[in-house]
Order: sequence, then structure tokens, then C-alpha cells
Amino acid sequence: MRADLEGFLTLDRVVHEPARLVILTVLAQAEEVEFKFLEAVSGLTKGNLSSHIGKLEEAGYLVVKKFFRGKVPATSLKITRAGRSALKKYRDQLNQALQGKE
Amino acid sequence: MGDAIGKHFQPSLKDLSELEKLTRAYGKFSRDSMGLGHVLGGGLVFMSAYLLDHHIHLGVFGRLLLGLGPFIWILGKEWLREHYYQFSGRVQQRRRGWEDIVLALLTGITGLFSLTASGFVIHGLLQDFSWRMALSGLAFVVLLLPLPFIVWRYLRAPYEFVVGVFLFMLSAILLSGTSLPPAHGRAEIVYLFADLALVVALVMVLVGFVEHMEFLKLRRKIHALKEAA
Repeated sequence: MRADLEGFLTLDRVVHEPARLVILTVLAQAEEVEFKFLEAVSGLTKGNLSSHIGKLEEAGYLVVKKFFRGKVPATSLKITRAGRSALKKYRDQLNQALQGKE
Repeated sequence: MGDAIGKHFQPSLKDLSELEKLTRAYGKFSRDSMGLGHVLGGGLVFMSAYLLDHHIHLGVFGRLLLGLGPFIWILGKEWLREHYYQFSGRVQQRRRGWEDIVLALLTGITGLFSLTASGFVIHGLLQDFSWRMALSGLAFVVLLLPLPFIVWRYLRAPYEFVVGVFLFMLSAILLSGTSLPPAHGRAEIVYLFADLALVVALVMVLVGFVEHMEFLKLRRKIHALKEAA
């Protein structure tokens, strides 16, 4: 019981937040993803999405690239190695904790 | 994954797994899947192979148009990719480690082939020079020499490579005026190549059509997510 609880308590809080979990899950499936796609599939508002991206960038889990396509500004995101391993660790921990619960 | 995350703020494992699938499927249209791009490429290969197979005489304008065929296809497929299939922002498909090695190998083989073929043409011209042959040879070399660069830059996916190489080869043959009947000395191998190209063209049209149908389903899913937000 204590081990199960420990599993939950040591979960990475940066990844655990649902919006950030969604962002990392999407990014882990591609080389690079544009902001516009994340906005469409997550249903988050631009401001909310930007704020979560900022937190993930601060944690070193993703890198943000801003550029212009013609005259239109665009933002592209790429998950880092640290981000990928944080997501994997989070999933493993959660799976273990949930299996222990059963 | 009926609800977008913005409203329904606790993604389940099923939601996440569907989101993964959706991202991968959409990302495939940044490289491996081309949908209508394959249909266009297959159509052009079919037309070129048919002209070659039936040794139909082409005027200068017709030949020039065929010479431009591969470039029209590249422009068309890149436009479709950029503006149609990646309609909701770009998602670059993940690269598998071995893909770069395969691409480097294919580029190398194509380079070797295009250099050898061009070398033969130039050697033949030097042996027996005539202006008419020189123009035909030049057209052949102009289309084949840049092929390794084009493979490296624009034909990165397996199907793309197949369509592109067939299209460039057929255009080079037709542009250089090799669409003569066998009685005029055309090698039997050109006939076989044209027949193979016809089969490849039909397969590519079918593949492109299936991919396009998959895309339409994917687009409906993404629109439903947007509306749910």
C-alpha cells in the first residue's frame, strides 16, 4: 500500500497536469509539431496552450522554434530527449501504481 | 476521443492512445502518404508509358511538356502536402533510424546510374556526332543528371521514390526521342520498361486513392475535435 502511494506521490508534476500530458503525448509521436495542430486536437485556448508550453519549455521537455512562413508567423515544437524520457517514466510509474492497486 | 481536452479535462488512457494514433496518421501525410500526389504521379507515369509503348510520335511541344512532367508532379505533390494534407498545421512524421541510411544508399545508386547513363550518351555523341543527336542526348542528360539531388530532396518516401524514378526515366526516354518503333532499332528492354511502368502507375493510382480516403476520415475527426472545443 505504501509502495503504491509512493508511486503516485513521486509522479512528475510537470507531466501529470492533463494539458501538459496531452502536449507531450502528441509531440512524442512526431519529429516536430506546429502549434496550430496542438490547438486543434487539444481544444485548449491559445493563451492556455502557450502557458503550458512555457512550463514544459522551462522544464527542458520541449524546444520552441518561432519562424515566418512567407509573412505569416508560425511556431513549431519539438520534444527533447529529457521530455521523452520524462513521459516514459511517468507512464511506467502510473502503470505500476495502477497495477499495484488492482 | 469525442471531446477535446479543453472541455473534458481528464484525458483517459484510451484518449491518449487515440491521440497518438491521430498524430501518427496525420504526420504520415508529411512524408510517407501522398494521396492525390500518388494519383497525379501514377497518372503521369501511365500517360508517358502509354506513349512509349505505342510509339506515338510527339512534336517538339509535346516532348517539352513531357520533359516538364516530373517537375509538374513534384510541384503538385509538394503543394498538396503543404496546403491540403497538412491543413491543420505541420506535423513532421518521426524518422526511423534506418531511413536515412536507405535514402543515402538510394541516392548513391541513382547517382551511379545517372552518371553511367549520361556517360554512355556523351561517349556515343563523341563517336558519332550530329546536331540532332546532340540535342536529344542533351535532353536525356539534363533530366538524368539532377536525379540524385532530386531523390535526396524530394523523393524521400518509398512510393515517392518509385513514382519519381519511373517518371524521370520515361520523360528522359521520350524527350530524347526514343519513342521509335522496334524496327527503327529501339531496344526491347524499353518495351519491357514501359510495360512495367504501366503496372506501377495503376498500383500508385490505387494506393493514392486509398490514402486519400483515409485522409478524408482523418480530416473529419480533426474537425469534430475542433468543434467540440
